[in-house]
Amino acid sequence: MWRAEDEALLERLEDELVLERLFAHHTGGRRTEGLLPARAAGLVASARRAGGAAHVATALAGDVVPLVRWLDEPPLSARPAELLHHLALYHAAGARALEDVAPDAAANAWTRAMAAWLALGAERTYLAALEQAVLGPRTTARADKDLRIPPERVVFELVSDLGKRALASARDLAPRGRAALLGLGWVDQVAQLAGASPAEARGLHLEADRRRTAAIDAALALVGDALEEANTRGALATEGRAILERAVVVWGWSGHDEAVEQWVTDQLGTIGWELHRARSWDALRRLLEPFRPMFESLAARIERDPTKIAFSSHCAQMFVFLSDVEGDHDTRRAYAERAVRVCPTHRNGRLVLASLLCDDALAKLRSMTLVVRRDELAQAEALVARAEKLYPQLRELPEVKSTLERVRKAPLSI
Amino acid sequence: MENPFERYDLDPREGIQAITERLRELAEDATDPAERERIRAAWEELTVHPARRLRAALFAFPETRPPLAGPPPAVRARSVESRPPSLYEMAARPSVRAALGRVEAPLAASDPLDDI
Repeated sequence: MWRAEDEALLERLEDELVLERLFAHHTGGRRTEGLLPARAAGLVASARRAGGAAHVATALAGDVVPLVRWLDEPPLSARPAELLHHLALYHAAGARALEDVAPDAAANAWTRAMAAWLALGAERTYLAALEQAVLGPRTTARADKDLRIPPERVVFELVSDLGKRALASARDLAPRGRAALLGLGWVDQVAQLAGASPAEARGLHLEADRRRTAAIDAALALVGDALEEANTRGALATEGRAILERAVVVWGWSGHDEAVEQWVTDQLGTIGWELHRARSWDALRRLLEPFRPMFESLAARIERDPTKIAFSSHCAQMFVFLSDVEGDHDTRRAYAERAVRVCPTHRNGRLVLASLLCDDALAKLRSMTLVVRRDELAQAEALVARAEKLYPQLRELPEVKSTLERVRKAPLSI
Repeated sequence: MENPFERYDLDPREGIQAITERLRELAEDATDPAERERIRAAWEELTVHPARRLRAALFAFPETRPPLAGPPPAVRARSVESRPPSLYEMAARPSVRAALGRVEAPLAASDPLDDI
């Protein structure tokens, strides 16, 4: 006779099978053995009870994708608390399984784990009841305060753990640190997935940023120490590039973090000026080459958000340096234009661009000694006017202006 | 360290007494001294430090699987003890022989089946 107990046992076995398939889907074929405890299969039982029975049945028949999609559907705040608890731990286990080999996928899993904790903390009653049951009635308010974790702060336990993971990898720049940093950097998606309130999202953002910054600062500090040491030996100009190149690796490890870009432009400014003063153009060109993608990235950030004014001057100077060492005139002008776009008040940027505009105007004017082409003359006039506006004290201006006057008086014009 | 609530199948909501009881049983059953030491360490982790107990409870999968009852009732044991069948048991019964189409003759005194 088939009893209710037999049905329960069959359901458990089926849940274990579905969990196995689910985990393999999320982790590129990994088995749950050693990574998930037996009771993690309760995730499937909870999903079944929460309205996902049809998707569980489909997964049991071999197609796990509908169940995956259903579990990931935002907002997670609409899910029952016990399912959220399962999801938070399940995704964290997936992240741990992947962090050393596929950090981007692991970061994705960390994001989902944080979202589940955030939604669970916002629900409050489940975690409060669990804490009450685990700790029992406390005797003093102080003991209570020391021990209990407010439900909405439980997600910060994971954020703190990710911060420690990133910090521990700051020296060797290991993939697991990258996974943690990426996860901490994607907190906007976390809040969106969880269906969090703006206040909850803001709190998470601040804490995640603090942890990210600490880990990235630690990674850059190693480069900074080496630069300092080279500077003490008077070898900054010769060894600076090799030392700073590690910052490119830190940049990749951090998921192209803005703080790395700001730090690098700051450091490059010091070394760059040393080479500039020595007129070591080849060395300056070699110095800048590996960091060009960083300048582009920082410039794009500043152009998107003008409030990032603090680093616009450093960034503009990088484009001025690039313009200085470039051989092709059009590319030189493009770099100078970028410098002024990034920081419209940048003195060197305006000076270099004004000078290049004068060169362009002169080239046009010199080609019109006998016959003046009116459209070209208009273009030359515009170039001179712009150069004067950018940098009125420019040394070349008087000469360009007098050439312009001479051409205007030319006998033939077409 | 593996989560002790998961490793030893403990319910965090049951409190220190139940944890102690269950771990004592496990320690008594353990034959390996190293395993006994691990159980003792888990007991210490969960009972001596409430903050660690709380953290372990938060990061342990909740038990939401359908509860298991006892196994199905055992099949009744045969009343006769198991032994090889005798020739008598192996021989076809008259009704079976009839069903197989053999012409049924009246039993003779010499019918070998009578002697079995």
